[in-house]
Amino acid sequence: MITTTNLTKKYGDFTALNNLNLDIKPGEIYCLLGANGAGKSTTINLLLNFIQPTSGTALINNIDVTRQPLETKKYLAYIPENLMLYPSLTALENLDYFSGIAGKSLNKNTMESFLEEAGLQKEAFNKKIKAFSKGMRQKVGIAIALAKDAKLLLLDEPTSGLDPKAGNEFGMLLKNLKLKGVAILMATHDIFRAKEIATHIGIMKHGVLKHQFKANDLSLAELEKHYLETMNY
Amino acid sequence: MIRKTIIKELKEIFRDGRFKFSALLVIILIAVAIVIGSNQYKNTNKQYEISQNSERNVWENQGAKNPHSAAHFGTYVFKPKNALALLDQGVDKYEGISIFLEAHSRNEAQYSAAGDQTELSRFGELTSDFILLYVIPLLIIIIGYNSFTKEKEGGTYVLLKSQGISNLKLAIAKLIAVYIPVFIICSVLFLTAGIVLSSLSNYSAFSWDKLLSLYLTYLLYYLVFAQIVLLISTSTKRSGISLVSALSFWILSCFIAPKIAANMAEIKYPYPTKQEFITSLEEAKKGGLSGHNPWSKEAKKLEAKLLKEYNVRHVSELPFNFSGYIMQKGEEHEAEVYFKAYGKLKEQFSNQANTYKSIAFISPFLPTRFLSMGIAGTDYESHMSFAEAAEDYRIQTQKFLNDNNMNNSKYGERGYKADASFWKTLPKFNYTAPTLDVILKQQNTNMAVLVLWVFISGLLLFISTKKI
Amino acid sequence: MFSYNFTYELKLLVRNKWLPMLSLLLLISFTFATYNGNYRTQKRVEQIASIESKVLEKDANMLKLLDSVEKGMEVKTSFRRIPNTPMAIGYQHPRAVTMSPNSMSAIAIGQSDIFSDAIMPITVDDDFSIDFTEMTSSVQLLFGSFDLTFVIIYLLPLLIIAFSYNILSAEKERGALRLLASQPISIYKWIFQKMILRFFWLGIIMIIALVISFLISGINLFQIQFISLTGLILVYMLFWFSLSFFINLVGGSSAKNAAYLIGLWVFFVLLVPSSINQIANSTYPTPSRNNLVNTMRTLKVAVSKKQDTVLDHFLRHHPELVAKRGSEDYGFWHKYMASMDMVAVEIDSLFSLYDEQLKGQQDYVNKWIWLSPSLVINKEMNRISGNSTADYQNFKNQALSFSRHWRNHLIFMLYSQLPFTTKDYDTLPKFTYKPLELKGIGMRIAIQFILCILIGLLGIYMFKKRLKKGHAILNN
Repeated sequence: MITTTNLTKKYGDFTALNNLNLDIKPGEIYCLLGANGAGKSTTINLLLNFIQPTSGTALINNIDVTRQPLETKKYLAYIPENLMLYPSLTALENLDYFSGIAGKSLNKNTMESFLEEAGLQKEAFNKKIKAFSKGMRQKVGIAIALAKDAKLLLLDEPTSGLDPKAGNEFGMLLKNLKLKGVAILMATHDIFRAKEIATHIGIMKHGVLKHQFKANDLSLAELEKHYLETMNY
Repeated sequence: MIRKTIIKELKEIFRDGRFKFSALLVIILIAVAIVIGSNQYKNTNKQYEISQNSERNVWENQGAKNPHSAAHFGTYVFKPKNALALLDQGVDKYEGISIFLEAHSRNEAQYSAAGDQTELSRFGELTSDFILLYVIPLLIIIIGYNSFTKEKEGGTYVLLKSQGISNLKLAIAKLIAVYIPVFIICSVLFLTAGIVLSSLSNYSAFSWDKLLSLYLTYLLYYLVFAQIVLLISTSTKRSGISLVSALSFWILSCFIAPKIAANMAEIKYPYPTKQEFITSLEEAKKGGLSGHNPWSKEAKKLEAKLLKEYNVRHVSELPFNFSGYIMQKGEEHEAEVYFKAYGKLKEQFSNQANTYKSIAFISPFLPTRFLSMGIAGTDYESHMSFAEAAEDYRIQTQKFLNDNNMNNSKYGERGYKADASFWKTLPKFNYTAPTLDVILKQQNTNMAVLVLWVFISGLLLFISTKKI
Repeated sequence: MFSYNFTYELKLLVRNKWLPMLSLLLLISFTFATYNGNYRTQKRVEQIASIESKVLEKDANMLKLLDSVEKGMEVKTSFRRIPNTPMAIGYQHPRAVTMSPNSMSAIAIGQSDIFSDAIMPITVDDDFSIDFTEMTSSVQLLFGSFDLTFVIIYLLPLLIIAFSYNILSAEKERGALRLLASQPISIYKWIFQKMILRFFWLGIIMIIALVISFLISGINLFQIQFISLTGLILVYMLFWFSLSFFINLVGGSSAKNAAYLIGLWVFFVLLVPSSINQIANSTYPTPSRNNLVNTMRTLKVAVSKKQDTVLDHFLRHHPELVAKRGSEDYGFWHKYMASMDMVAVEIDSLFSLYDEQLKGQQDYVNKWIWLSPSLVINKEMNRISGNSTADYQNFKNQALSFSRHWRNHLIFMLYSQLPFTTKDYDTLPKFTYKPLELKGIGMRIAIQFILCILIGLLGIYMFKKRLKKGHAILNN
């Protein structure tokens, strides 16, 4: 679903991302670990074409992101670290609007089923977003992704600032999506959550992908050890 | 603590691109305004001197003539340009600059500059008052709108509070910091104006004390604005909202309030149209005494009274020329008619002025506007004071001429001519503008309202700092 | 995308109270402004009606008196007031020379507070002595009126700015932009649609407010000028929306956008007009009026000193006026009119200098008017209202030419030694004002429209460049 080849982003002398090669297939959850400024968000911004690469290519569903940005966005859904919606619109209205401008007209029942699938409690469907917690907003974000029938989910620090229960619920949601064959790329600091849900894990430092593992190949303790070693190097 | 904050604020202000740009623009505008203004001032006053001398020359050399012919020939007086018009043009361009003084009628001042310009002149000109009254308050807004909101948005406010500075001290420091750049610009402008004017002051009276009061007026005006801008900045959360609110206040007080005041004044206390005014004067004159109509009832009454008083049977036996006498009496009656009509007009204006004052409570612009042009001698009252001096001179001149006729000619004598040298003996017209204390007395309400604005906005700022 | 934007933009605008607030603001300001304009218009209409009815009344009395005199009846009036001489008519029975306000006069006070639209020139008046100024408190002239032109030119752009300065930046600052940008839509198309929708709604509100304010003031809506006016306002609104679109695309934070847009407002509404005015006045300075007074006075003295030769001189130039009956009996009026004519001829060139300079200023202003759409709209609204400088200049010229015509008509009778009789009344010149033609407004609207499109395209071009650099969506 995602293929990057020698993807590089430079800001003047500073290299934010250096020759990144990623290949994420449908049904995989790829977690990118790393400290602040390691290049995780840069990777996601490049995949979204919010910024343009200095060299290298990024393909989504075998379509070049820089050449056909609007085409690639049809297949992906994105949930930023702090997902913000329209505060004076209700959950249903936000879902209707965002899927609407993306070109999908949905009836009310379908939308409600998506919200339900995303785990939002029923009584919140017609409440204004103003009163929502971060976890609830993210559920609406997932519903938007579901409605869009996205093949790829890009997540930037989705669990930071969530309480443990909400974090756990979110992890379960992602696992469900995985089963549907959605490819997921998630940037996070949370080693524990990563180990729990990921199929693949990458550790980044100074814009370089230092290590890649299959999540099942190592235990949480080993992962933590590798992570700290990479960081202290 | 306050000193540190002021220094930090000033650093931020002077490093801000928007401030640099707008301050530069203000300085360029001031330079343009002063150059244009002082040139205009020089030319106008030169022309004023020339015109006055030329007109006096015409008057003195009109040759042997009947004094009443000379009264109809009349004379012109010209309005001198006030020195401080360099800083505030006031209503000058809408008022006439010369008045024709003749027998039997009081004329309006003629030839306002606006009458000779395109409608674009109504948009305003690049004059000092435009900068002082409109642009500098805008500069204050640009300097101060985010004074508090930037701390709130950037999260530094919490940090500051944790260092133990009180809101009041913070507000005082910020107020001083916002005020300093404006204070500097304003001081430089007034100092430059003072130097320019004192080097040109051979024309008309320039006094430093008037300049100083003008300066203080503007310093108060800017203090009001600075306090209100900070008040808005403390009471809003976002810089964008703060800016838009401060600008709304600016638009409301500088653009909308004066116009609303003007329209309300016109609707409540309308001026007569010119034709109405002329017609009502004609009506008022009709029944009364006229030097050109010795057959009227009023004239006959006067004649009978005079005959009785001097105990003679016919007017020709009076010790003076009855024609000259009745001419003077007619003149006095007409002057009275005019005095009343203009009195009504003045009353209407003072009613209008009260309407302006009542609206001054929503706009610090209004009291400043009136105070400023009052001190600069370019307001309506200053114009009226000139017009009234001219009218007094007209009345004196008519008496001077009629007395000559009365005492040197005989009743029924045709073709009497006063000597060619007689005209030189008419005293010259001399007008001196009112002094500062007279003006300030006239302007006491406006001063009080402005000071009230300073206190109320300061108090509101003080209260709002408690609730940040 | 459009139908969703349409529905949700409307929902948001209603929920944020934007639409109700804008409707209220526009309705109040339009109604008050139109009321003010209409108040002045009605005052002028009344004044003109009263002057004209007074003239008719006076004429009727004059004709009755004349009839009695002609029938040899005894009249009580003093001999100087008997209207049987041309000079008595010319002196005591002037015509009303008036310019009635047109049907759209209420939209702009224009110059109607400075200039009078009713004068009554008498035969002894020359171009110099007719006063065209109106009596208005100078403070009011200084502040100007709260008329529709003011609301449109000054306030409407500010409402537009407040309504649209943060369409993109607010999304960015709130964080919703990232989610939007991850959808398969182009952001500038999205902003464009939002702008167009806001323009659409504000346009509708504006038209409703305009219609209501016209209805309240009782102004006829069914006239072509109403459509021109609406078109002008809409294209002016579009100009500010396109500027705001531009700033939204290239600007930064909300506060920065607001500051830029206010800067543009100050530039277009305050600085450009006053600068052009200043340059026009400096390039075509009005000669000193005091100097004119001096010249005229000196001439009058000179003419009065050679009183004996003045009449000869005058008759040499006007052989048609030499008395046909061979009478040498020229009186006071003959001499007076002759010397007036002499002064007028001498001073004419100096006098026309004022009109020339004013025309120079006007041409200069017209040449640079396109620098600010505010000026274009101001000019066009003034033209529609018939209260522009050009209209008053036109009235002045027609009035002066009528005044000369009136004088010459009576002078001819004076020199021909003809008495004024009831029969002559019908041949007295009559004044009717011919208004200026109103055309080219459609063209102006079209040019402004193209300008708006150019600004929009420039904005899109610069936004695409910023997208490449990655500045447009992220917060740096």
